[in-house]
Amino acid sequence: MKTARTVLKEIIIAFLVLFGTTFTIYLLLGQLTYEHDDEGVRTTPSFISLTVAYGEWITSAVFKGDLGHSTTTNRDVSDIIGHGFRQTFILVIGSLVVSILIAVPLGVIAAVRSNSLFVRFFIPGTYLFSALPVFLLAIFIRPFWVQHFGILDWYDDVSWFRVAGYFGIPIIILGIADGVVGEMIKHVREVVGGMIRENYIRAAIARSARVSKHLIKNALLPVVTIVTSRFSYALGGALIVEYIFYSQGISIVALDALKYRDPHVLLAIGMIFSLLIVIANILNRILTVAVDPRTRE
Amino acid sequence: MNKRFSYNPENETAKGMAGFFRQPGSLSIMIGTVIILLFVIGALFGQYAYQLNLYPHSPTDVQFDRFDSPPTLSVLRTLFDRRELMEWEYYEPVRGHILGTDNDGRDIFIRVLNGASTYLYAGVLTVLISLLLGIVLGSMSGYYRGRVTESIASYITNVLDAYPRVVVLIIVAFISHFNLYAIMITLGILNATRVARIVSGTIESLKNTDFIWRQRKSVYPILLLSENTLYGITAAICCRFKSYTDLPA
Repeated sequence: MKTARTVLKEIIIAFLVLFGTTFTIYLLLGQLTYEHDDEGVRTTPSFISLTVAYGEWITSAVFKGDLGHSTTTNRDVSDIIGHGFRQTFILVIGSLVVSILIAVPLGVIAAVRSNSLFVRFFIPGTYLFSALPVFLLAIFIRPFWVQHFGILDWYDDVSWFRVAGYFGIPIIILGIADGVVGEMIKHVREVVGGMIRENYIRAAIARSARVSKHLIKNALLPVVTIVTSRFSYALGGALIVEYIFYSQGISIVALDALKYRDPHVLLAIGMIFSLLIVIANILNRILTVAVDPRTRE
Repeated sequence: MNKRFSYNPENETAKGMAGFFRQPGSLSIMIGTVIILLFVIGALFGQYAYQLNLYPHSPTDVQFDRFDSPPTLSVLRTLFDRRELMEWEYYEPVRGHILGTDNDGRDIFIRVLNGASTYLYAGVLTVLISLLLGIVLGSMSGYYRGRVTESIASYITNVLDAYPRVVVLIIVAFISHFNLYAIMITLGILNATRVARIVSGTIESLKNTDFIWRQRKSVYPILLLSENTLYGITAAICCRFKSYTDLPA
């Protein structure tokens, strides 16, 4: 009952947050458009007219599922966005999974064997590699990727290796770069290292009981928090990565919409992105409560 | 067990630089300091290297006879080996361009140094803005836990968290005609949420300690709280300086 109440409260807050983000993005986008006043002179739209227009847009979006009409391509917005959105979503989710798979074992190893040669040299190397920004790493890797996994001569031979490289390397870059892996390793190492010195874990080790279950369960807490808070960053990184590697997808749609002053497309992209971020935050709350029930207020 | 952080009373007795170098972990501190100093000095004074006759090229010097020449550093040259992709003849590296030239024949190294000062300045601006806003929001939601003030502050924090940063930044860039200040202020406001979370957590945990609770009837606890909070957040802010300044990717 208490958990259901917490979840309901989070969902109501999420709707309010979505309203706030879309409204401010609409106000910002309004500065790019213009309207005519009584004498037929171009002006930037006033706050009141923008609010009225936003009200119309949000009611049709919520009640009819109609995200608006693109003025440049003369198509429905949901039609344009749905086409490029799948790739972005796969990129983001895949990158988060990759960063978890890399960071959690390395963090546990770094905590358990903190004095070994491997940890002393490999972990700082990981920090260094991970500290590179996404766009830089992507530009470094791109020539190699074009040479070995490029799509240009796929007519000749297609192997599973090439397909995996074609889709996998951008995902791995997005999962490693921008300090995601470094931050995760640091937090996991801190938590697990603190736990190993606890009395009950030392007693369990002395009795040769299995401690890995407790360790992993507690190491998951910071990982959950980081992954969900990194979600918005991963969305932004996915735009850059698909711009560099695939030159198609939602990033091109967004840039074209901005170039040709097409507000509804950008608004819908912003709304879907903030919806995803809000869902990630709710998931974070639920998972945190599931791992550690004390955090339920 | 762990040698690096073990306590050795002999280190306490030695004073000055000798004592510093005997401390565990001093080597990594020195290396980090040197890297940061090199970056800051390069960013601040690197743009004047041409005026001071330290470097033969200026950032705006266009040389049409040497466009797109590769770096003379061999490591970088192998990284960017584009010989198969390029058809024109000016491929051979020209002596004196460490990082090569761009497609207008301008030296890349001095242009990087020139841009680094802007980067440094913009980073400091972003961090200052996010600190100001984040401390206000975080202390509101940390000190007034369970009241209206807290819910307003945490609502603003949640909204700032839920923005798709790249989309918002691109829109702001277009509106402001790519004005640096507008972009940096936006980035600072968007980054304030991280500071706010750290501050609110620190204040909340400090508020329930005995030495604050004992002084609750006087004005003093607010001063104590702010002092201790600033101590608590300094390390966290310094660690994240890099992530505040980089692209919101």
